[in-house]
Amino acid sequence: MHRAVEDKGSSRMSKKNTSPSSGNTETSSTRKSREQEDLLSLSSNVFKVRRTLLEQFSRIERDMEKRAKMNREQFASREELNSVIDRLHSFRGELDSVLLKIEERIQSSADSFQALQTEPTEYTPAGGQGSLDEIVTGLNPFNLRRKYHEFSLSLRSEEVDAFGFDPIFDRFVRPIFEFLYTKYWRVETYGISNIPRNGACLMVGNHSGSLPYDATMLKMAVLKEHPSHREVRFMVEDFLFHFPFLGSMMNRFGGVRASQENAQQLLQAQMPVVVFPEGVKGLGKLYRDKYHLARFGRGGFIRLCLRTGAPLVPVAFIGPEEIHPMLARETFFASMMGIPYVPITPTFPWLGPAGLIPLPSKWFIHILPPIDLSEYGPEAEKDRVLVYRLAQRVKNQIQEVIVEQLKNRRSIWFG
Amino acid sequence: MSKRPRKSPEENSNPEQDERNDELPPTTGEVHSKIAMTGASSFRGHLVLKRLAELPHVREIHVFDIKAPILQAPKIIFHRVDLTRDGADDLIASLLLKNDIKCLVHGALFSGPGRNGSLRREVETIGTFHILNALAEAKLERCVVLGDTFVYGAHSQNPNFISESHPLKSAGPDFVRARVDVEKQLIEFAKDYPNCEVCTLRFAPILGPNSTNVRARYFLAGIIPKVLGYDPLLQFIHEDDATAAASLAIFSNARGTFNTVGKGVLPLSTGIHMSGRFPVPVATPVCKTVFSLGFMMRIWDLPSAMVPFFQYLCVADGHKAEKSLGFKPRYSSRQALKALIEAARLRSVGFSMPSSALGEEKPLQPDEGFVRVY
Repeated sequence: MHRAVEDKGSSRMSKKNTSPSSGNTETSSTRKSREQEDLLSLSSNVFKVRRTLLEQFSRIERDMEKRAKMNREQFASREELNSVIDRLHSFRGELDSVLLKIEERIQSSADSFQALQTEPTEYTPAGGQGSLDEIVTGLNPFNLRRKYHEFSLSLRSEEVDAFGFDPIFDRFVRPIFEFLYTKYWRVETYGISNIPRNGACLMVGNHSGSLPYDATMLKMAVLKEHPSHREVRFMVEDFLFHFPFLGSMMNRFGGVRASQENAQQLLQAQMPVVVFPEGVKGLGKLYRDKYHLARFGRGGFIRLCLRTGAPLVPVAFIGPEEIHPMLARETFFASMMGIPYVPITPTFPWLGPAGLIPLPSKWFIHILPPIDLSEYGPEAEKDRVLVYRLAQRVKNQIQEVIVEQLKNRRSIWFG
Repeated sequence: MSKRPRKSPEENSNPEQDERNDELPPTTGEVHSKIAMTGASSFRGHLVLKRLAELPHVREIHVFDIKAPILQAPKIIFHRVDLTRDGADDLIASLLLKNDIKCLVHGALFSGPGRNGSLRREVETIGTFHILNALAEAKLERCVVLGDTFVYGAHSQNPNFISESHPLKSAGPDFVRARVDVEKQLIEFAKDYPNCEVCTLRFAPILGPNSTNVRARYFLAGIIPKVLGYDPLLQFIHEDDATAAASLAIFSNARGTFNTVGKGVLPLSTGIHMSGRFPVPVATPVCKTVFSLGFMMRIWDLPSAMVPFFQYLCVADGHKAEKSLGFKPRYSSRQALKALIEAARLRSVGFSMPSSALGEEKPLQPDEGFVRVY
């Protein structure tokens, strides 16, 4: 890095030295030319000092920025680091301007001796050098373990929230879901304003598609299109939540294990929550049963709404049924692995991991007007008949919307 | 340039004085001047004993143990009692009656599975049985039990935050089952003897600069075994918070069970990356075998019974303690783990740190990128 600066300086010097020598012959005044040379060397020295200072400053700044980014609060907190960086930055600016002024003054006095054309000082930030430096230290085998831990920590937040949601990881995976939302499944969301702007709400949807893609797409829809860009939590079935890698990953971007207690706590914390009362039965629906809603549990979601007073928002998904057309459920090997079923799709076991890629069907999400259950009061949750009747009503409403929309759908892939 | 808030010298000179004033609620409960204690040689018991010995209004601390406590003070009176022997209850009861003691802290409970399982089971179940007999005989007014949150067990069906009313399952590994038995004895005793206020504290795993329990050794071991693909949320309590909670419970008149836990949760993998050690992921089918092999070969102190704790949640809800006991943790789970790791690094270059000297002075602020959802 330093050598580069010197090289730059010396090349500049040589350039300047050559041009006055040519001027020397023209003016043929030895005293004047010596003065001029002195001035020029002074100027180049100032230039060198300025460059070195700038290099050092930018190196320190880069180091501090990296520290601030890496979540390592070993000697100072992030705010302190940022304030130091700001002050460094302003100080560098001051120093730069002062030195530049001095250099320009010398330059102009030298120019008054001779009309010397100097190239405008092009300042190249030492990014390439720095990254090369980083690569070299990164390849150091004694440094690899630290690098590994630093890299892993840079992908996660310092503090996850109480249910394991990790904002930094969420931002990291968001482009993938953004692609799926806008390009791959071309999701069209209707009735986004039915989700309240603040406060708790329980979204109840039809479940399908082997993996909870529908929940993530609803999360993306609310994040992108809702006026207050709310963070949605979705309930994940037990067997998916405790599936290696999948569960912990979903937990980090907003999935919570499906249970009454968890949903109630989230609702009491004024969060929008997505539940799928069909559960595994909906997730593992065969292709021939597509869009026929399975049993809506025993009405646990109704009881939740009655208890917490949160509005219930029915949501109808069109499209996720076709992303993994499940022809059959394999249960023998699945029970050996401890999961309810292994899906058999036209692609899955036959193409290996490539069979896990979902098909690009066209999606519609219809968010229906909220149902306010607070008029029944929290005591109504003990009324079994009412709870079951309300659950049936919600199921029928979603089913009706699905049927209505399927009537007008021409193609699975283009809508 | 650093704007880190420094403590003023007045604050530094007598921090204990302030805490004493804070933690002495004369209105809420009777201030016992004579306190009996079991399990004073354990890490947690040692901390509580130290705190009690510091308090000016405590005049005598009677310690029942097989081994004298490390802490020597004129207040501390040691009685050699083996809790597992027959007749321990009579001995303790007579000592309690003779010295007119009205409050007992039962801390003779293990912080996790150890190498000697049968001894642990005897001390926990039979020891508690004898202690409760002695309590009934001596007609004590107050009993504080220092338990742990692992009694809930790590099950796949656990909710994210387990409340005190969650039913205890007698399933699972032996060290959990023994503790569930202890808790059942306590509940039965509290029902049969309503004159005695039984207060059970369930501590999250205690971490801090000096802790040496199974979790602390896990994060400080050379290689850290973990279950491939599982990343549960963990919860810890800083040792200062644990001591504060225990002293709060001793001098209050609260009854029942309280989860005393630190703020927030922490994914296991973040903890491992913070410690900077080498993680060894083990696939689920061979997990138990590998864990018990490493345990047998003394590579680590984690028997196969600990495996579910690295797969599933065992996080308790500390709201009840905050509401009715007035216990507010000062440190988050992450800060507790950080204090442990920093102290271990300092220890490796020859500095030893007392409790409460490490950790961050400033407790976690809710607006520092952390949204307290629940």
